[in-house]
Amino acid sequence: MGLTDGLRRFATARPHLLVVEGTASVRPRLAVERFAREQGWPLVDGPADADILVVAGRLEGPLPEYVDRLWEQLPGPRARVHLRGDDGSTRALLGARRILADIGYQRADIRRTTRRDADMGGMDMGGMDMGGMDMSGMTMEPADTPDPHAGRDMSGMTMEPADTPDPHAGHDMSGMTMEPADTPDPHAGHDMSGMDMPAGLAMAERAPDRDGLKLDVLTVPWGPVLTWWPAGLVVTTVLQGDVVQEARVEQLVDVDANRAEWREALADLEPAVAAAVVRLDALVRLLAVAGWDGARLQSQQVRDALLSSTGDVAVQLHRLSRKVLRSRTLRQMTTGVRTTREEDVAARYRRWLDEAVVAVDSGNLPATADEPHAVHLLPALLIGSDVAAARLIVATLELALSGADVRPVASV
Amino acid sequence: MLTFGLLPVSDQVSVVGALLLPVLLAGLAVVAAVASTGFAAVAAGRRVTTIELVGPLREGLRLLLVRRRTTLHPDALLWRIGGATVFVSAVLALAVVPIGDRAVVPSAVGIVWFNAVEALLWAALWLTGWGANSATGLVGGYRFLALSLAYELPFMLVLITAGIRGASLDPVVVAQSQTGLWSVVLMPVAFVVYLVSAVAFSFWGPFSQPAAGDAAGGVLAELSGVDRLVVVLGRYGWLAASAAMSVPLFLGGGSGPVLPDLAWQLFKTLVVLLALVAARWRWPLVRAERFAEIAWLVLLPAVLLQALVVAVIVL
Repeated sequence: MGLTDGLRRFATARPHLLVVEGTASVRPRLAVERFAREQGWPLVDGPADADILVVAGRLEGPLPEYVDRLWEQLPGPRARVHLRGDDGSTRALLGARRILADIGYQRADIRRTTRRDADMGGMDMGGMDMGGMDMSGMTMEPADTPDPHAGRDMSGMTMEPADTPDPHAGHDMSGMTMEPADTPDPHAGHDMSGMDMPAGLAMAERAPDRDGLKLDVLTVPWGPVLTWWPAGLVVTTVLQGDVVQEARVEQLVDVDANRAEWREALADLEPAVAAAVVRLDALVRLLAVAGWDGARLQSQQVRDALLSSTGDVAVQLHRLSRKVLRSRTLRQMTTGVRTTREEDVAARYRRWLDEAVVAVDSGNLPATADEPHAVHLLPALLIGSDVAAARLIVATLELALSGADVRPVASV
Repeated sequence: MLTFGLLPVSDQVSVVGALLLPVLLAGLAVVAAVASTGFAAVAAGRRVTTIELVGPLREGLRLLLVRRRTTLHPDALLWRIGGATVFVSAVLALAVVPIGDRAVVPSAVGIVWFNAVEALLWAALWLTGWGANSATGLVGGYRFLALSLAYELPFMLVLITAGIRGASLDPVVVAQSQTGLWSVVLMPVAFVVYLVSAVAFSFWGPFSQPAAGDAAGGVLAELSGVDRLVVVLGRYGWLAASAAMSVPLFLGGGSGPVLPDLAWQLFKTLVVLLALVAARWRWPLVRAERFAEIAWLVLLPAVLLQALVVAVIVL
């Protein structure tokens, strides 16, 4: 057993983290990002590749239930930690890693999951009137043993209500119209006869697209759990291909509480340094969404150094600024992707970097502030762009959306 | 004898070689992964230690430990076929790469074969995205098809240009034709476009949009455990196979002073592989729709011109 245990510990030595941001998530998130970078624990994009679900901050409203469902999607071995404030994150994460290698715990976890699925599998769905029901909030997950007739008969499936849409499941059905099937399904034991619903899912509808073609319409929610995404933001999009046709925006966290949390996190810093930190933090996300891991990690290093006032930060910042501003590829990929004011994405990251450099070099506060009501501007900005551009646009509104647009106390 | 789609076998296929081929590919893939881990550590400001460099081994074990998962109502068969094809096609590509003075599967049309199995990736990635029945996977699949529209034509022309030099589609003959002057000197544009295409069809680094984080992982979004391992290994495998093929096509095969041919070949392969891997840390993501513009307006004319120049010189 010694060898197996050793291998197990080796395999789980650097667990993959999926971070969920709740309200007042700033300090724990910054701590986790720093820990992950220094220890080489990868931050991942979704539950399929995650070992540890990290909840940063308080979960309110629909978020707890949402996170419970997200938890179900981690394949396992898995562990879950909840971080608040800025203390104890290292200990909690190391504890979670121990749980990953704990075969007894993981076996119990599997037993719990299968038992619950079995209980749910026997659920009587016959009485449910699926036709009149609003399915927008539901995601269905298959039980462990797939039923070959699952397309017809829904026993064997667990249905879990979700208040918040799930970007990873991709099965959210809100906004979809169900089309009557030509021939009623003889196997449907319950009232599904009026619908063509393989596995209980509505088929995608078609609609004319911008080029005059008829294309599938899919409703896809983005957030609240998405890597490098503003805390608690949910953008429900109607997609054709990967072009956004409609967008609805809501925020599931208290942005004012986040703003207070930012103040707390930056309390020990000079106002100008604090302004540089929030810009670099936003830049981290923008660079991540732009798919440039090298510069993103470099930006994280500078941000963390500023936060802890270590190292020769000015030199690092200048190096980062030169690297990012010199990149022709990044400029070409972001020029013309419009954001608010007269700025496109390229102008936005250029301004953030310039402001951060000026703040650190001369202690001058940035003269401009990012738009305060970004959340209301968002839908109009997103419509017509593809998913990649939409992610860039959201990233440029980071300061406002995450409550990081704090004016330093001195200047209030 | 040039028959597209068939593989005319000019010599006996080496059975031992064929059995060792997946092992060789996996080995090269691990080298690529180790290099990537090293670059990652440097970028994150960590010291490059042994513990960092055994990362791929740890990741492999981790993925074997992690359970497979499924989504609601996936097209499971096509999903798994898609994932497996990423790795299998890389093995098939390596089969026609000369090792020493003969390939494991010697063929008079090895270059065309390489191109054909590369095109299998279109189906492989699309099915991997589609099969999971997830919107982000689907977006990833779309993105790869858009990407392939951009890189595929320049890539085909590059392969043909390399073939013109040796007046053959057999990589062995092409390698032997480069006595005195490596093709990379004669056709630098073709070489660069070859490398760009290799990064693109390996959906790696600047061309990893089909599997990018902005679409929650795209084609990889729903894969876990061994299913993910196969695709990730296949991706590194394609980087390795492309690096290996660049040596006979552009870098004079095994030619070089003092050391035996095999050593030179391995050395050149590793250098190219390192460059391909490093691309991830050097450049941001290139979006398919903007790359299409560059590919059709810049790369394609440039490669056509390159082919013309090479043809004139050779004839």
